[in-house]
Amino acid sequence: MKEYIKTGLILMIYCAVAGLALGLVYQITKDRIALTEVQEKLGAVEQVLKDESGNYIVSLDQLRSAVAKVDQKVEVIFENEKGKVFSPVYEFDSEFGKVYVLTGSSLGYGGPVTVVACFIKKPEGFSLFSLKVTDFSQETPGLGAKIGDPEVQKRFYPMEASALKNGVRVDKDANLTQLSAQEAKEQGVAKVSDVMTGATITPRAVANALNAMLDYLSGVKR
Amino acid sequence: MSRMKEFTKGFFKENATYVQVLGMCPTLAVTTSAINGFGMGLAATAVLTLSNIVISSIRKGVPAKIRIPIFITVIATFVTIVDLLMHAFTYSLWKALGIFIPLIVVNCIIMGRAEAYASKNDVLNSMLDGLGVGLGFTASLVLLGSIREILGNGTIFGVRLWSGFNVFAMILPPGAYMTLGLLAALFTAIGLKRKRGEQK
Amino acid sequence: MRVFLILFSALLINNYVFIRFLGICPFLGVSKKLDTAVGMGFAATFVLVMSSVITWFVNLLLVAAGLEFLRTVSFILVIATFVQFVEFVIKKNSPALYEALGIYLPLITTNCIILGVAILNAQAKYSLLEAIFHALGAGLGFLLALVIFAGIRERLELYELPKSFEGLPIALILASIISMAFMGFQGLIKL
Repeated sequence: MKEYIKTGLILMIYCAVAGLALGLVYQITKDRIALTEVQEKLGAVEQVLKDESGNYIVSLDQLRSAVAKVDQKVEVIFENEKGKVFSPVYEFDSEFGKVYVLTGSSLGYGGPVTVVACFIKKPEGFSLFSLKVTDFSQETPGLGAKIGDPEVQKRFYPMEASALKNGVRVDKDANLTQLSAQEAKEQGVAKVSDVMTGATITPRAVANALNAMLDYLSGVKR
Repeated sequence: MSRMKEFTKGFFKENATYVQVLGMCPTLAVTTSAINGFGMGLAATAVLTLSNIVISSIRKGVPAKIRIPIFITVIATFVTIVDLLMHAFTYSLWKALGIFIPLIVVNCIIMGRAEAYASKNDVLNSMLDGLGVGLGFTASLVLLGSIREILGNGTIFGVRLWSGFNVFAMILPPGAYMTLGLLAALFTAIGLKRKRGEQK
Repeated sequence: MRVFLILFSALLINNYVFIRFLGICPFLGVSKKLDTAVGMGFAATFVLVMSSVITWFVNLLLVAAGLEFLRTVSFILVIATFVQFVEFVIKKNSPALYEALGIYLPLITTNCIILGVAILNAQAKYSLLEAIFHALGAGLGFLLALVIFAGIRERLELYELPKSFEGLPIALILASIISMAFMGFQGLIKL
């Protein structure tokens, strides 16, 4: 019996030391990790607010105000059967109209695919200005993970408000694979079948996430 | 001289990947590119070296009966530390390696070295052993990652070599098994040749 | 419905051995004979499901205490303890079962599928039921992979191979071909 207690005690001492060491490292790295996460989120928001020549479509002052929001807690603020929208929602004024930057996700091949997208409010609805797929870590490398390529992501934007009336679809689902990328966008269709051969679920997840955001936005409009 | 040997044996003679067939999961999973293989290798090397040092220095105070749980605790602690540090300082790599960082805990190379080497040898040798085996592991991963990246994507360490031609399947899971299989065959062939040379 | 999606996704589409690369060491190690492969597969499935349940509760505690960074350490210790415990219980109560499964149990602690599934459960924030089905799918997928592979390797023994391909190299190339076949499951589920 004494033997058991002794070994148990030794084991406990080791675990306690390990726990203390970890606690210490955690305390040291905690702030830095939080900072990196914030930078990552902010970087995505900044990127979707840039036009093709790299200029921001909103003023820098407004951008700074966004920084304050980045730290907010992430919560699901809207959900439809295929996608989710998360807080915080960024709102800006620009010369084109009101600008919304949203974060949404939908189930991809191996897990959630997260998209940050920028929409501009137009009289006839919302147009999709730009987007960035921020998390696709569970997608298959070489297949679904190709969604990380900016050139592939460009197949989704920009789309005019008139094209987005019925939401975004992937060309295979819309049976419009014969269209060029530009023609497809005019009908709210992202042509990805040529750049993402063999992967259909991942781009569909992006479309679903965008549709959830559009649903959320049209709710706001009302 | 013998210290040098402790260090270099990990590269070829006792190469963890091709000769001892250990630590296969990260080898296959993260080598979609050379840089991922490199990052994974270094992370594992750090854990291996540090845990070898600690295990070697506490080896006399560990009752034989509970040595495995203690080794696991030590290794898991270092893995978590590496995980936290990578999360803080190398965010994109941390994201790319994902679940395979915490899984370094169950990488049989590390447990294997702790049990077979560090628990029986002094601190300096254990450290060299850890460094050698770890860097040998890293070299294997970079080799595998480079081949897959070059053939599958036309790039190496992200630098484009050519475009228009790539064997897409190399990046996919089958490509991982195939490349590793062919490399293992190559290493076996070289080993066989050496043996024959020695006999003559 | 969602639980079945998780089950089949873990079993076929994202097969842990062929697509996600977890549990390769025992997969290459004990797939030489069909009957040992079956034993290992069932033992792993059992441990997977049980440890998923346990780590689910452990994770609940960790999250409640804000100590998520201790996840790796506590999971591996809990799993190792649990496997030891199972070994002990089986040995005491059912020598026949111990004969069949006992030798695989120590191997299972260092099988990365077990820890991997536990961590993935925690990361994906699965509910208890989802976690169980995920583990079940992973375990059965592992069993399936082992059985297919052992079947082929048993036959392969009969052929003469180039010396440098014997053993591991040919096994890996075989795994490559089966993995290609498993990629065909990609289109199985339409969301």
